[in-house]
Amino acid sequence: MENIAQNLLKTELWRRAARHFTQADLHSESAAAWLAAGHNDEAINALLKTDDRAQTTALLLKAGHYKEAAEQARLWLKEIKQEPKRQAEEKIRALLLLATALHLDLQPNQALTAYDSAREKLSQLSKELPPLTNAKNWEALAAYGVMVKRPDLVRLGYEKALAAYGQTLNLQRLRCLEEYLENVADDFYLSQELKERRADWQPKSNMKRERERLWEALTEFEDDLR
Amino acid sequence: MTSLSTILSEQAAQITPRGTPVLHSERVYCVTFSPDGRYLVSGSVNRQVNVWEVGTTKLSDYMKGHTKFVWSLAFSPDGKTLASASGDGTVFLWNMEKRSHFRIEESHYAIVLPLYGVAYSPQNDYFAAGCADGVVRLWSTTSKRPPWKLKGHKSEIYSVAFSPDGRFLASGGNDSTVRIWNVADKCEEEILSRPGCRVTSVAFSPNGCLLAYASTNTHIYIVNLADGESQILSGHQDLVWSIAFSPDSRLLISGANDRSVRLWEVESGQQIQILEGHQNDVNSVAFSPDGLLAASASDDRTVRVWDLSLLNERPETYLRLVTKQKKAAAIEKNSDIRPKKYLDKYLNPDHLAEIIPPESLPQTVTDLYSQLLTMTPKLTFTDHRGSQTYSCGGYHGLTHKGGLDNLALSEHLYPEALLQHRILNREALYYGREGEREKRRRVTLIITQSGLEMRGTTNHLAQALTLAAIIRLSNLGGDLRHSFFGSGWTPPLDPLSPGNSRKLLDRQDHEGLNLKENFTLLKDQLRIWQENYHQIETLWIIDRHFAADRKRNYLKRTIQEIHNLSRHRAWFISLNPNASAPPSTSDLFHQHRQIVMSNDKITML
Repeated sequence: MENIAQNLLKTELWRRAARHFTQADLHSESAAAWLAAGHNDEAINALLKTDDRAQTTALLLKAGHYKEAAEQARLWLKEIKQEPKRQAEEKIRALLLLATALHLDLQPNQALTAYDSAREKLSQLSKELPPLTNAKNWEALAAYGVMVKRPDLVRLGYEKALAAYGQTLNLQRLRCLEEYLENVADDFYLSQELKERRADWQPKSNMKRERERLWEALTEFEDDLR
Repeated sequence: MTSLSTILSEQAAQITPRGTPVLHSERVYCVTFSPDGRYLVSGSVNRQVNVWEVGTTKLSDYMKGHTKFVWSLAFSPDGKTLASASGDGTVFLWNMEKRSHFRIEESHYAIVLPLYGVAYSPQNDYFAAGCADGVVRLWSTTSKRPPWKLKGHKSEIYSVAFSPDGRFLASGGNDSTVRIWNVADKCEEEILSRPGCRVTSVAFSPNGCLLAYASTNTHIYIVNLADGESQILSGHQDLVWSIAFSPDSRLLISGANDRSVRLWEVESGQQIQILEGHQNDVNSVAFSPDGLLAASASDDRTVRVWDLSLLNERPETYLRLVTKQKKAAAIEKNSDIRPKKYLDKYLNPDHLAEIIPPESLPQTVTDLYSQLLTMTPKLTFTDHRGSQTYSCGGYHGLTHKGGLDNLALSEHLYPEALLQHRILNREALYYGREGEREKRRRVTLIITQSGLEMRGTTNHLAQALTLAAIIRLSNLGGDLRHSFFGSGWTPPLDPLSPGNSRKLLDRQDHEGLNLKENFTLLKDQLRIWQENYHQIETLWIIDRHFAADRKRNYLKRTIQEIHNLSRHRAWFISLNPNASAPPSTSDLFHQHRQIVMSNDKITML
């Protein structure tokens, strides 16, 4: 009972926060608050007032508004066409989101065209782009795989992304690994393999802290027994 | 004599020498056909290698270099190189296109060690020569390292031969033994000993089931490699110098000091014909690659070519009695000379542990493998062209397996008089086509998808399926090869070879699928095989989404190209139990199956 009350209160608080953000013209923050409150449509409305095309498109896809998502992805592509730097960094992600939207909107031929050009660019640019951008692009491919139910692309995308993050971007790598784990939860053996990797990649200091925490818990438990 | 032998004898009675004998200036010690059947090559006492165009008696070319008699000749499987072994202790590798040569000398400290027998491995990766010092020299064709020396024989080695899969090398010599060597490990695998019987010639049957050797005691021995039984072919009146199997392993030809060339039916051990004509000892015999011709070289300074096309007129109609008469030839069951069942050793599913030690298998693969092994019989190739047997019990109550149309066809192909004779005598007949199966040597290539798309369960399942397929397909005969198809293409390896088995599980790709390059390499491989095999099959073990997003036209075109080269089947792996629709690329394969794994349970659709 207490939990339900707490949740209701939490949701109400998020709603209020979202309204306040909207009044203050902080639409991104408003969208985040609407999302946390579980109001996807309001979140989309808020996002549409921002220029965060990536998140808007992703959210539209999540909410099942495929036509609108395709529209947003096209707008994004149009915007980045003007700026060469953005084009290199964002085009692949925009194309993959467009492909996802078109695929889910049952326009397979157009979806395939968008997907093909994204894959072509991905293989062309993957060695030239900085590791972070490269990893994001591969993550976008994995996200596409999740949406269109292509487990092979999920595996390929996340594996390449993890390799691109490498040791130097370990925190990002761990975040990506968590997402990977979440999306392949049905694959028992792969999940096991990924959990092993996660244990290896955990920062040592954290592990030390974790061990200390466990040790404290154990001594407390022993004290209790006495 | 069995009915088959009767027919063969009737046909063989009509065999005549083809053209006039090819005359040499000196005694001829060895003869062989080029793999394309275009040339006949002979080695002679006059120290030169003569090249004749088949069908003419015209000397096309000759190659000089040896300083003593040429004892033995062997073509590389691609026909580009001819190896000649000589009494001068050298092996010459002749480039057949440029007619240049590369000389290898194995004599030391001014002691000349004659080399008597030479052979190329069917995979073109090794060639071997038997030497007078009792050591087999084994050279790699890909490196210039000194030869491996296989020691064991106590005396001169007269003949060497590779098994058709290239895994074993047999050598026979003056110490009355035939030794079988493991080519990969360069060690002795088996000794067949027969005291007082000096071995002059050894040969593996092209189907890999038999090993034959000829002896100075006038007999020819055929050892069944699967069960170790040996059979003696008796008939020659003097020592037998040379033997050769026909390409379909059905016939054996032998040449001896009694001036005769004899043809034998391998299965029954019956002599079906004596080919007479030589005026002196016959030193060497050979079959042409298509089996339509045979050649014999003699001390009478001639090479005779025999037209065997009559024996091949009806390769599909293999006749034998239902109540098989006891084989005329003696069957020996002396356990002392029985070889180990080394073929069985690798083919028996129970011996997986010998191929891959259990500790090297991930537990998941072992679990999946044991599940799969019980299911794969349903998946194995059942399409053996030529393996059906049609039986008809003396035309009383016709029973048959297979189509009647085929039966009728083979019936009409028989000589009318013979057929009448059988019918009138109410002899039961078997019409079978086993012979054809042997003739059509098959290679099966198992292609396992690798690459980053294959991770976790998909990968474990692919590995287990690969193992199960290897075990099941190895029992069907023919050659078996395995490749990975991922970010790269691994050249086909014999998965049953202990050295290669570990590679099945060690593959780690760090990139995704590289379709274009891999297809090109695969096409090249299939083209090479097309020259050596009658039948090529591929079994793809791939993810359900293999190449799913590649351009349709490109895929169609590429697959069409490889369709022309071989027959393709696919096992699509899926982890989604609800994905009942066929994979998008399934129509590009001749046949396909879906293997779905969900909650540790495997089902096949």
